[in-house]
Amino acid sequence: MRKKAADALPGSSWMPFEINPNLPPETADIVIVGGGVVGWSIAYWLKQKERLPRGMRVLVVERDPSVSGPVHLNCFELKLHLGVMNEDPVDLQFNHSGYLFLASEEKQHWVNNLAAVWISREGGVSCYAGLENEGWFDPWSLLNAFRRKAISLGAIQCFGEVTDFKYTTHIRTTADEEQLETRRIKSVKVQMPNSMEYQPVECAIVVNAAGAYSGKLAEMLGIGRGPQDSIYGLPVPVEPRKRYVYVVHCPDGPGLDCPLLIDYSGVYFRREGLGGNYISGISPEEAEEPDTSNLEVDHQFFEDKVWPKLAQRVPAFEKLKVTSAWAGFYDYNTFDQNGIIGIHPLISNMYFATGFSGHGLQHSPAVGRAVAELILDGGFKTLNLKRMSFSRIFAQEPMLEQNIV
Amino acid sequence: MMFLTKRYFCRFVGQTEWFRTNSRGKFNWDFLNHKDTPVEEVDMSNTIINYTGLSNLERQRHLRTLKLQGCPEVDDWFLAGLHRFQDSMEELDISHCPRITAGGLAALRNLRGLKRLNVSSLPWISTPGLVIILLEEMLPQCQITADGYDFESSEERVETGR
Repeated sequence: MRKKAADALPGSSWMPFEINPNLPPETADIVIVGGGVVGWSIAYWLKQKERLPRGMRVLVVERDPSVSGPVHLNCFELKLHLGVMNEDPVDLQFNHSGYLFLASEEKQHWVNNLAAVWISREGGVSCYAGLENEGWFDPWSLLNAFRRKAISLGAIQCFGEVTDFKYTTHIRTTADEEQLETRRIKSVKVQMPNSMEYQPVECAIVVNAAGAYSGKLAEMLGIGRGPQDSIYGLPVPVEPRKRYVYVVHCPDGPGLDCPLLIDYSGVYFRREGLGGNYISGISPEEAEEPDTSNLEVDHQFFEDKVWPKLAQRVPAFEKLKVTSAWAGFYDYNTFDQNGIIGIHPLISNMYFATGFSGHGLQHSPAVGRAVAELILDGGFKTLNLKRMSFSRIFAQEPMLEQNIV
Repeated sequence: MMFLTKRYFCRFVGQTEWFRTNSRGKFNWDFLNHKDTPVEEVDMSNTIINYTGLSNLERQRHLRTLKLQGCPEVDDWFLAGLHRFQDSMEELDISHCPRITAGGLAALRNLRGLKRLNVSSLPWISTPGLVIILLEEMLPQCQITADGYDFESSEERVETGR
């Protein structure tokens, strides 16, 4: 009898209810919404910079347990500085085959000395390619490298979806004597996958690295839901855009020196491995944007839009076979296709790092450090990324990223 | 000329003699007579030369031969940096360099004048037969030496089903 009483009292290890071990902690200093490469890069840099080991509780919330989102869209350029990562040797499987942009002959400042013989010069072509440090790498390795190191330094990973916020409201007066209602997040509601269970996490700072869902996340705080002409009516201009990637096998295709080639028709491809496989895709026209409610692959799209252009540029590609394909979402910035980094004027403690429109992977190490500096140092220290803040969106001054593939 | 104080050998344009360190590590000071002559061949085998050290050779646009056998710090980034010598380089020996992978060999595409390439015994190359074929396609004018591989391994047979 005494033993049963001892069990029921607090302090014993027996509990009548089952506690879900996957729930996040009840409090955290910084909650990063989004466990993609940008989110984990930020977590890594925050942990790297903290002056007291484990002095700061950083929680990364990711809604997809298999983390199969934009990480798979691995076509991009990288100019990587040696030794950018932590001290453990990280093998990103970097391929030094280079990047090759093709343009029509009008681009006179580009060069006209295409060495590769397997490219058709039909229609007139000029090209731009770097000589060194250009190529591609395995994005999954980078994501995992950031994640493993951040977790080893004390960051906490949680699989769940942020469905709501609790916030307080403040009225501030601007320099023009206008009243501005700002919000300060007090806690984040994290819902467990496929369950009604949730955990509110009290936090001081929230980072919006939710990629394609960043706009939706900001909407939960009222951004974009106010009257049209007011500052509250301007939504965060990031939406999901579905992109397909196709893996093809071509026995006589370009060899070891095949770069990541981007044709001016919009189609791109690169070598994958050494066995005659290539990865390719194309960005659809604005009017033909696929439906973003699912991640189903449209194979007809390859037949109609990708293959003809591939074969036109590389005659050997007339004979190829699609071996697999997948789809993912770009966090597409509908304003100017460039990343948004910084605080939103209406939310005092939400830092944004989103809208990279497909370039998130290559920017992730720098963006991670920049956001960590913003949060911990109060401003940019290494790279001044002030131009990527929300100001340009409010001032309607786009900083266009023209090389979105 | 900084690296000459280490155990490197070099030969100048127009000269047939090599400047080498003798068994006691001493260097023949005659090389000072050739201060402004470009260097034609450099042998840095079994040294710890790395990407940063490559900048010492920056201005050597007549470099024809570079021997880097058994250099533990020569990696893919180093190979990418060799594009500086694309107009002059004819012979390159990167055998026994433990850090080189197939991804780095792709960077050799810029060395269009390369006539002899030695890629023997590179531990990270798991499918040497395939890699050699691809290298030969990439650099048709180049004679490729690749010893020290087990070409009969089963991994080979799976990959070469192109």
